[in-house]
Amino acid sequence: MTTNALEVKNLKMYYFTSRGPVKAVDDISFTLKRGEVLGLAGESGCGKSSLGFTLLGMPTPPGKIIGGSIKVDGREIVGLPEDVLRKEIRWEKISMIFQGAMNAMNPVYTVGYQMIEPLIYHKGMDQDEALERAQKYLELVGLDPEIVYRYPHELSGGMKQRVIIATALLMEPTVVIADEPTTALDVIVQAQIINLMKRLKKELNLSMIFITHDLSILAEISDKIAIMYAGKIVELGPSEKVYYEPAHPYTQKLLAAIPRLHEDVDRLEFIPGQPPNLLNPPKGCRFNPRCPYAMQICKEQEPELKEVDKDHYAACWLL
Amino acid sequence: MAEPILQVKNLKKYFPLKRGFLAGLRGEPERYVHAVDGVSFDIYKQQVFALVGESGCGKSTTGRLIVKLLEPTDGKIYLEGQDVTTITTKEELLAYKRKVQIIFQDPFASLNPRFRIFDVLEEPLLIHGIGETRAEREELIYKALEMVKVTPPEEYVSRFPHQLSGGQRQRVAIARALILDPEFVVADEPVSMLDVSIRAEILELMKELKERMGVTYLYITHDMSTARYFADWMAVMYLGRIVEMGPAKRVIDNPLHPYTRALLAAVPEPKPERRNVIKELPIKGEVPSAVNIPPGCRFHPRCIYAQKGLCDVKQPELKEYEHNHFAECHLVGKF
Amino acid sequence: MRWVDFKDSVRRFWEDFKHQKAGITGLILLILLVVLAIGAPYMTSPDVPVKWQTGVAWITNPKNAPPSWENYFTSQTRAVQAEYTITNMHVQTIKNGTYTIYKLSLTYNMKYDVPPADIVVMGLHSNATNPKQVPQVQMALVRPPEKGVKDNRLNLISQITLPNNNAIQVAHLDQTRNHVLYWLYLNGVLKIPNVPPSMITPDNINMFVMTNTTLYQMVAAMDSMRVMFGRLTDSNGNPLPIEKVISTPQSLKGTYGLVITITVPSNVKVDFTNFKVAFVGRTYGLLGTDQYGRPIALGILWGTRVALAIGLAVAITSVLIGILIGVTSAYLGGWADEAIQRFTEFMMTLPVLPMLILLSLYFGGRVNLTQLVFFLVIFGWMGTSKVARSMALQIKEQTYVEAARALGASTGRVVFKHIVPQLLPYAFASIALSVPGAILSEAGLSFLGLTSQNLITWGQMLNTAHQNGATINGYWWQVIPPGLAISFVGLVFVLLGVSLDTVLNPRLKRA
Repeated sequence: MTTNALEVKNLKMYYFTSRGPVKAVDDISFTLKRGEVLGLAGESGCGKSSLGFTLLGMPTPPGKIIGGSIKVDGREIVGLPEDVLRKEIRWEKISMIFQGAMNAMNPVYTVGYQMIEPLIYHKGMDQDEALERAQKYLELVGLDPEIVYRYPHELSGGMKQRVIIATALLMEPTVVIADEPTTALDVIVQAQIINLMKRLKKELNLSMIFITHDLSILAEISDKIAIMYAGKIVELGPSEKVYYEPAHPYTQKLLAAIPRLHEDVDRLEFIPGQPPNLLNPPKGCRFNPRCPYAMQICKEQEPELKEVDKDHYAACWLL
Repeated sequence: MAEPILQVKNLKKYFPLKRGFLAGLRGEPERYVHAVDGVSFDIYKQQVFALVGESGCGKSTTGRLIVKLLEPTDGKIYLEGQDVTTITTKEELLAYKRKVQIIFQDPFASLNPRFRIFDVLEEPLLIHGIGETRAEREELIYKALEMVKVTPPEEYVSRFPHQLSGGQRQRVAIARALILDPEFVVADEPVSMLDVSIRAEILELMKELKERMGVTYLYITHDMSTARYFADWMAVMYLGRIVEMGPAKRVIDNPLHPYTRALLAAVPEPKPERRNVIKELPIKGEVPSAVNIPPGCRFHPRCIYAQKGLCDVKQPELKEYEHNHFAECHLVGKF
Repeated sequence: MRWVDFKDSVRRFWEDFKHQKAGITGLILLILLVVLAIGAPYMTSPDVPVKWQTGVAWITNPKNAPPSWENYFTSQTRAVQAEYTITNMHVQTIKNGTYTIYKLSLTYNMKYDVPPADIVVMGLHSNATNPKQVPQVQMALVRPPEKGVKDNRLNLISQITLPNNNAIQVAHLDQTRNHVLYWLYLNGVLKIPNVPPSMITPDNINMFVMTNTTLYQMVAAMDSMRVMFGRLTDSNGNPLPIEKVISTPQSLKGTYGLVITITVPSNVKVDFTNFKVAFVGRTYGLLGTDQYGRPIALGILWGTRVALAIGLAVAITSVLIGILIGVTSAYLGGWADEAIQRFTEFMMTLPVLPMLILLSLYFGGRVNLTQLVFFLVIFGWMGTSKVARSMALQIKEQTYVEAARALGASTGRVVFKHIVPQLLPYAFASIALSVPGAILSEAGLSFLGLTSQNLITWGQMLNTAHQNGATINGYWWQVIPPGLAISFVGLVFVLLGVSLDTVLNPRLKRA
């Protein structure tokens, strides 16, 4: 049996702020098989991006991993020293397409230089070899390899995002985390990028974690969906199950809030109130103040993830 | 149907490109960004007219022209039959701005971070001299906040924008636009920066206010799905021109223009069963710059149906192909 | 902005600011400076600026004297300035027929290796109308007992007139010198052979001295003060050789008495209110004196007034003007903006110091405070204006400004409600940071002697020191304190400015 690409168990990452710990990632477990795409969804501030950074072993300060395990390709990375992470894990085993990275490219360096800089400095690769590799991956994402000699302002938004994707693939990592990779793009370019990622997934047997708040985009690519709310996964399961038989009231409400292109909806549903402050989350189920079905137990005890169907889990007292 | 409340006729806005001093001396011709290049449409009372397109297509510029944040290069705008492009006096301009308001995309940027919510909402009242005393204005402000469901108002008036959630800020922005009781509101991507659950909430609120206050919206968006949900009419813009226009549902269910088709094909839908299918996108290339507009049909370099000798030579006109359903293409029905 | 908002933003500002160590230090030091500046007239006297220019006011002070605390670091202690008023003296009034005699006596503890440089008597006021009625003064020094010395009393002045506003500088008088020589003769230190003692008087002793060339040269170089406070005998009571007593005197430590006898006609009234006797020190006060005898410490204290006044006036005015011009330029745009920017750059390229010198010369070579502030503002607004313009351009493009314009807000409203309030924090930091520059420019001009002499400024103190050759003569106390004061005020405002910038500038705050 092959090892899973990624195994996360009881992962906890808190931000230690002056006002107390913010529980941004709170007891999260999931597994990702090779060639599988996990879609991670939730409202802004639910901890989905924090989770992404944590999986890379680099929570944003003042965040700290305070418990749990992350196994990439069977290797535990929690507790590894920073230089080992940088040399042996990051980019080589697990890489990330950062949110807004395409707009953070340095305008005074060529695209090629920016792509291979980490390879030369962190991996000790020779410049020509690195450049060759960059060109190979640029071709793979559907760009002209000569782009390595161009500057970022000469590229369109879609092209820049392809460069970022190629950069994430350079070291042939097992897992790629994509944080809102299509958010700033126009509809058509967004569709093209999604097409590209579907192709890469098939061609490279890539495992991916796709983070976005947009459930429509997520449906286009994910095999598995995890819905996050206030630092916790509230529902996890195969895409079809989550989209067509959502078990958690939060998931149900989120899906009902999406306007459909080819269907007439009389009234969109929405979730009243706001996501809780993670400094001081509500007692019991964190969704209980906004949940229309909240019962007494929801206010007192925190529900565990329960298997409602094969591989389909949800954390709700209603089940 | 009744008289349209707002009519736009052949509206154009060209922005001059800054050229160097030497270039000017050498007599190089001035170059322009053709942001809006001949746009015409009518909007009827209490209806929602959606202007859809990708970034840079001129939809936001059109919105800003209508609220007179920009002056058109050419063309006319009529509000209730009156030409408003010729307004010169301050009084007339103020009166117009009272009738026509705008809601911006980014609720984080559209509220002055140093203003309390009270000040944000008091500003339009002060500008237009509504409410003699502070008590009167306070009354109006409380009412406006209640209307957009930021309740209880007492709790929010003394807060700063950063102390509010994104959804609440956008509600305040809506209240600011509606406190003057305008007839026409330009909503420039009002929900695209918000989370899905909040997005629905704001759209519902805007819909409710349309009924309650009788406002008419120009809804500017890149999102076809919300346009279908919210709008009665829809116009698709490409490189400064409307390429297709008609009842929102007709345009989405039966698109006439190849660009509309491509846009619709690209819209992601929450249907996971298609996750392994690579989508076909009937379009090629990338959007050209609005400085060098292609000759003929401006979509022809990207159109997969373009015919040589026709599309790259002759500019098509916006024609009515079905009842109320217009398109600007030589080849409607031929592909 | 309403009052509550103002209070609130001040409170929030303070919350942030109090964590800035540098800023708090700067604030405390600034408060100290302000207290010094405002308190200067009360701590000293309000007429100091007038007295500063008149030499006679400092007649009781030593010239170019180092600070008194230098004594802690030298092997030979030098006399410290000591002054007596009538309240410190014992007064005895004797009516003698048509005359009234005031006998004033005081004690002076001489504990130094180098005795005082002079004894100055001044401030006696009488209502005498003709020269004959002017008070007559006699003075005698009563020395502590010394073995082998017969006469402890040494007459210094047998008779001298003291009109109003005049001073007696004892050490400078021939009379005194002659009395000292006579006294040396009486005590057997000065020997005049072949002349019967009865022929020798204080008035003619000099004549006999002149006959001996060696002795005469010795006497010509004599410091009478050192001799009269010096030892005459060795520990056995034998007279010391004359060369030792006159040329290398050793001080006789102990309690001295000074007796001043003032004789006036009975009808003349004498006022002792301002009467003063000074044992002029060889060292002076906290920071010594300059060549006119003016105390350096006093100059430093009063200098804070001008420094703060000029610094703040120039900084505030030029920052406000800069912001006004910058915002106007940004808001007008187009050709107006181009023109204003080119003009700003033109002003920036002008060499400031040469221009200031030329301007000062054009205005008579001595500019007063108002003119100086005006000149410094003319050359000080450009930097702020550039930054203010770029900030205003940024704010102008903000959506909330667009929203205000869509609501129909007028230009004035946009500028004063949306743009200027955002610039205020920058303005405060900018003001604090431009104070040192203004003070330095003032110091530069003063050093070159181009500012009005009616001001006490640190720059002028440096100018005085320079003219006095302070660096060559090693008068460090005339150079270092004003220099340090300038740097210190600069430091205070830089500390404040940097902290204000950190607190008020959101970009830096996040970092």
